Amino acid sequence: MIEFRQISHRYPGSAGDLILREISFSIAPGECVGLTGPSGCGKSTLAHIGAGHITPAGGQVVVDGVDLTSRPSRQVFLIHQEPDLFPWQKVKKQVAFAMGQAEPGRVAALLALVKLSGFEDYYPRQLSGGMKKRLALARALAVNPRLLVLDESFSSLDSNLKYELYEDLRRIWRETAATILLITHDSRDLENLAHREIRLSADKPTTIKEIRQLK
Amino acid sequence: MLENLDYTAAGVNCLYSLSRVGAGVVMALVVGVALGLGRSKLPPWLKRNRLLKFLLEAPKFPPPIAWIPFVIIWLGIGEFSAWIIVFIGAVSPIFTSTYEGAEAVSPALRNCARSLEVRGFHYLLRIIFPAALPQIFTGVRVGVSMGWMSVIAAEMISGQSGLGYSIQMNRLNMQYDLMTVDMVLIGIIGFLLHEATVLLQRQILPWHEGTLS
Repeated sequence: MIEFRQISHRYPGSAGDLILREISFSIAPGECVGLTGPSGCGKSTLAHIGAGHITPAGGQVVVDGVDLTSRPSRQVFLIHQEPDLFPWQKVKKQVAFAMGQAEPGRVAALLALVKLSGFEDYYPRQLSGGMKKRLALARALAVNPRLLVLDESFSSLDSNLKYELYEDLRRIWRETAATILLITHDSRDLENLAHREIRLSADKPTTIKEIRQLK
Repeated sequence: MLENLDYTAAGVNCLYSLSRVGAGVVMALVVGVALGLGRSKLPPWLKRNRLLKFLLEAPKFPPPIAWIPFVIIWLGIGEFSAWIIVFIGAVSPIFTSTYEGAEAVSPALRNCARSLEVRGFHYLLRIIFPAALPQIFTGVRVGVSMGWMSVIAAEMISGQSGLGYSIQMNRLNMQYDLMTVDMVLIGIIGFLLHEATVLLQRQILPWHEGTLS
């Protein structure tokens, strides 16, 4: 179980107003939760807090009973809108590096899962936008995190590619039973992927406006 | 013009100068990269310290030629002194570009590495160093050029071989045609050294945007 407990946040160095106030929710294993809200409401900030990259002003991120607040770890892995691939590593190296220990068979299986077989020796720069996103997904699955956070990962893609990636993600999900926090402003992402929607408010500080069951 | 040119002696002088540049640049590469990466690992308050910044930045402003008298006093005249002069010329750009390259690594890559639990020396070696390599190469290109200029100056003042020494000897013998040949050789070799570093960059950084294009 992944729990966001009473998360509050203000900009670093600012003693001013909170931008997030006491946001609490939990995600069950194998669940895909959509986190939505207007631009600038703090969705990405919440994603970074979840991944331990940002220290919140208050609250905790707890994974299976362990407090991982401000502690980046392999338990929670974040994929950005623009995948942060290491440009000097070839496709197969990206996945192997994320595993920690080289397992050639598993690398090949993950690349096949995201339809990147045959591109093992390409550098990220040589891949299309959709392929980069699929590689980022393979790398995240190689980490095998308890929670995979997709931060606007499907934005900036054209509709065809987006639906192709939905299919890929659904298939991958069936095979890996990954737990996903899907941050999006696109209702199609929710319809296609999420079990539950957590909508953040537009007013400041941001709070949870509503939680809606989708499937 | 070239009837007095001793091709063998000219070739030997080129090799002497090149070997000194090679040795000095390798030393500068090892020290400059290590210092640049080390500086990037300092805590933020120490990076902002003005005294430390002054101590690290000020020594690069005296030109390498100004160090020659000191090097002669400290180390005498010889091969090692020539290496040190090249080292002084090359180390500053390599050190500066390494530090700036390391500092420019994006927060997204840093966060990704932290999430992958890459820490300590591995973080420096496997994330920061390769990410900074394109900028390190910029420093190497400048460093090699500076090293080449420095070794010629050093040989002119205190050398017993090399192209700089050859210019001085030809000046004393009033062989201005051979001085011109030396100047042309210095220009050609300097250009080839620059091109060699570009070629090396293409070999080592095939993934880099500028390199691939």
